[in-house]
Amino acid sequence: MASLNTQTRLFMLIDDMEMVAKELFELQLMNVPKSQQKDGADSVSLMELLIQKDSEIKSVIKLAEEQAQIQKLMDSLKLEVDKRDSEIKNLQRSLKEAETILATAIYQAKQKMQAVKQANDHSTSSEEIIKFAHRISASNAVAAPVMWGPGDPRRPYPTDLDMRQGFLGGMCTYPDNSRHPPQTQTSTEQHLPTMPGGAMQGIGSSLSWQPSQEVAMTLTSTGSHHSIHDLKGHNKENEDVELMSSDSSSSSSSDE
Amino acid sequence: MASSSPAENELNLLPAVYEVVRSIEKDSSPDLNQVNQKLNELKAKFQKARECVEKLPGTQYSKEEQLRRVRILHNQMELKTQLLQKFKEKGSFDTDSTE
Repeated sequence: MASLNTQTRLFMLIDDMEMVAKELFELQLMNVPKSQQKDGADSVSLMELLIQKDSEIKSVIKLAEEQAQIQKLMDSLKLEVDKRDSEIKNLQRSLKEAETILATAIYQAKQKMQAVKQANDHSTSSEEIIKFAHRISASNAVAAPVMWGPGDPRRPYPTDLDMRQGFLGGMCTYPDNSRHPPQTQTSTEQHLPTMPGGAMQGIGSSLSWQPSQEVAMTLTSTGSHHSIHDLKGHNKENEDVELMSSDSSSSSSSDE
Repeated sequence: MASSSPAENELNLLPAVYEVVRSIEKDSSPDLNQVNQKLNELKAKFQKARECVEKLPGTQYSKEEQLRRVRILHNQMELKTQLLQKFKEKGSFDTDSTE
């Protein structure tokens, strides 16, 4: 019986009391028309039973009151436990976030370290890199020259003019002309464009721009009688060049 | 029994029983109407007593069970307090052990 909870015990006691009271009333009602002495003992025992049940109920009520106090304590404990639970959950969440952030940072740092190591392993001198950069960009193929504007006949690829002025072009055309190759670097001097002979063999591709620059300067400058005849010929070639350059379907140009 | 709690009042069923018995034993011929009335009152009182018992807090367990649960909760609370204390104290990480 002790393992039963208090509520069940109380219910049972109340039911018992009800039954005993009913028995008593029945006895009383039966006894009323007849004499009362016969079942007096039964009535007394029933009444004693009732009293006993009542006292039991009272003791169990006392127990229930104590349990109510304990229940209050339990509720407050539960509240505290819940508070701690939520705090622990918050801490766990923060820890997880910190771990994620740290993992990302460490991964990125590792990658950077690898890149640094790689750079250190394959280090090259800056002079070499600058030299190569200079070579690559010397022909103005990477970016246009400083004062280049629309209408400038200069191109990053060898133009028709350049090709004709080169070795191969010189072999086929103008066999009777013997001109001196322009070696000067100044663009203001009025030098005649050269037809390539044997002297041009030593000139590398890096100087291919020089003649065209000279030609551009001679073309744009005014009042030179020496170069009129040459200019006429080169004007036509220039027109060709300009036509070709404006024409998008030139075969020698790079894809743009 | 210095102060009577509401539960005690509700579950004080003997006086009602006594009233019924008295009404039955009154005079030689009992007034059945009164008897019925008292019986109904007794029934109502029993019903109220049952409702009161239902509402009593903490009675869904026996005393031993309840004490056991309180002990468990207390242990939980202590454990969690210690855990939180440990977390809050050990805020810094060991930098030597990281790779």
